[in-house]
Amino acid sequence: MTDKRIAHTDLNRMLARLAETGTVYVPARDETGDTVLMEASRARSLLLNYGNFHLPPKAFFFPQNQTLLSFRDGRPEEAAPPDPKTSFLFGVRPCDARALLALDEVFLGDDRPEPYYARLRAQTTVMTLACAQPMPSCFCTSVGGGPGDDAGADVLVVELEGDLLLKARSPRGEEVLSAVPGLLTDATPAVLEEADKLISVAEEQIASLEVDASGQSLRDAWDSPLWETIGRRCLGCGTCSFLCPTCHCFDITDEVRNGTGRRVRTWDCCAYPLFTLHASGHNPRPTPRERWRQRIMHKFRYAAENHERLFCVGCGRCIRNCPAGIDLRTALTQLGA
Amino acid sequence: MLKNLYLPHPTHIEEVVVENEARDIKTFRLVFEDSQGAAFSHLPGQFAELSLPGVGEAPFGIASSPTETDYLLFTVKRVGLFTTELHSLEPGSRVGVRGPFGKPFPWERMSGKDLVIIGGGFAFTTLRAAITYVLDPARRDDFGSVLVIYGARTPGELMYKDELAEWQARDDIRVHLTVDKADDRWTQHVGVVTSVLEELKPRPDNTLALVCGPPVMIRFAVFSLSKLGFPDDAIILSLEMRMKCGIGKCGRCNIGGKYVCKDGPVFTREELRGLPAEY
Repeated sequence: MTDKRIAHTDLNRMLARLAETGTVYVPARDETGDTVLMEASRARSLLLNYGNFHLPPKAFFFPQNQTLLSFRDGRPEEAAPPDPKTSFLFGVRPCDARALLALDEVFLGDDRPEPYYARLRAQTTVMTLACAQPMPSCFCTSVGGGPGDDAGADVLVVELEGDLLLKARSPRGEEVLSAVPGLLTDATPAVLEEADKLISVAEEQIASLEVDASGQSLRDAWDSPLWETIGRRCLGCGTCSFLCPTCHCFDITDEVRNGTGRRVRTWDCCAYPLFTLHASGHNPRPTPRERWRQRIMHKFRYAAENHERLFCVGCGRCIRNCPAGIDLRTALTQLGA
Repeated sequence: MLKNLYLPHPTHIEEVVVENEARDIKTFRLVFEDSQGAAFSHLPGQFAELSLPGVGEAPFGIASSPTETDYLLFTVKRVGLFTTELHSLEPGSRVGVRGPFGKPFPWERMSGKDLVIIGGGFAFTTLRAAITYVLDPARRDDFGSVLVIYGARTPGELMYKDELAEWQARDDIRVHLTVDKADDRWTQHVGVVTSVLEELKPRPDNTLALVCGPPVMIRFAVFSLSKLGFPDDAIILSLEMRMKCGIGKCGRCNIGGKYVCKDGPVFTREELRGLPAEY
């Protein structure tokens, strides 16, 4: 696959070139100071030295609210949104790009592909930006990823001293590189070496923990008293799920007034007591203990069994944002996952 | 665009039958209004999502057999928001149907076998579909003997009363009915289905057992079947969980790593042994 380099000063030119064929999203600060993926035309300046986005890019492919049907006079009509535009996401972090492969398993991985997700995925190029400065809550290297991981990337970008290295990682990535020929030069062995070095320096900054990729270590943890211990601290707020790049559970509800309205798919969360409540009143997961067990078992055991992949990419969002200070790493270590 | 998996197919209610004395269980006969009716092809044991615009969707076992062409039957107890709304509908009302979903009873394994069919309460719906399917003249010879044990709290709570009487009049199926609490006219069994099962002692050789009912009934029926010598892979159960999408994506109906909507709702006891008892 093609490896190219581009001068820092030419990066904006390259993105402008891509913007001729689609919408380009780049890392930028929004009005609240958060780093977000923003339409390049709206971004005042391109940001390269950031930790990660508050909200994972899953929201781009799996929006928080998705209209599935509309109702008129009580009759359902197919909501046929216009075909999504060609998009380029520049600056997705490696953990979040890897998470897309988990979402692919759920939404595309069987004989019933999810149409809304599938069309957004088909129209979008993911340009991953390797991490030079991991955050203290990052643990990607313990769950199969890393600061220079190219899983889920169409193009892997590594920021160097004066240049950026662009590594095509899929046919779509090759297309992107061949679309901006005048701006790129071949990556020399010295450039590739510099990139490898940067990545291994970043890797060394990430504390590692033991996580069994097969999920089998959790088989014996079903009756662990730790579920109760963690469950007692959990507020059931759902922040961890909403900010998790692999969490994909959703609800389907109707919003109707005077016979007109819509059926909408919204993010849901297994920490909520209503998530599994039967109409009869029976609830197979009645307390936070069972709900926490579900959350961890799903990501670290069931996903490994069903998809041979953990549904955790070590992005650390749940750790950074839990209002009760629950640290997933501690939980995993204590459970012997 | 790919097929919209969330689009229900329009049907209308052709007939509503009140099934029980408490009048909180009704059978809805639905007829498709679009060409999808012909494409809707199911086997007993599968379910579908019923849809009411503005109310939502809920999953229900399909109570009709595929041999009953031209319509679908759903027998629904009034419990929550959706079922209350459904119960208020009259013939002519429109209902959306999405499906069929899930794995049916293992019909390829059931061919040539004797069948023991055990049901309790309003979970008897997909068993009604199975019995109707087995009794179809073109299919009846594919199976050995058929023993049905069906229980309800009172005689008035037994569903499908006309059909139960028809089946009891036939000689190619044995139907034992039991109630927890008899009334003056009741002449059949009194007691739980498991006591009838242990009294009849069906032989486990070359036999498969289908079990649908409330969790406590399932637990005791499975225990009794094991005592009678039924191996775990000959005990076939149908489970219920709260569902939304019906296609293994929304992530709420899992038991361990299995989704009830796509890996079930039908499981053998052997399959369930490998799963946590979180249902």
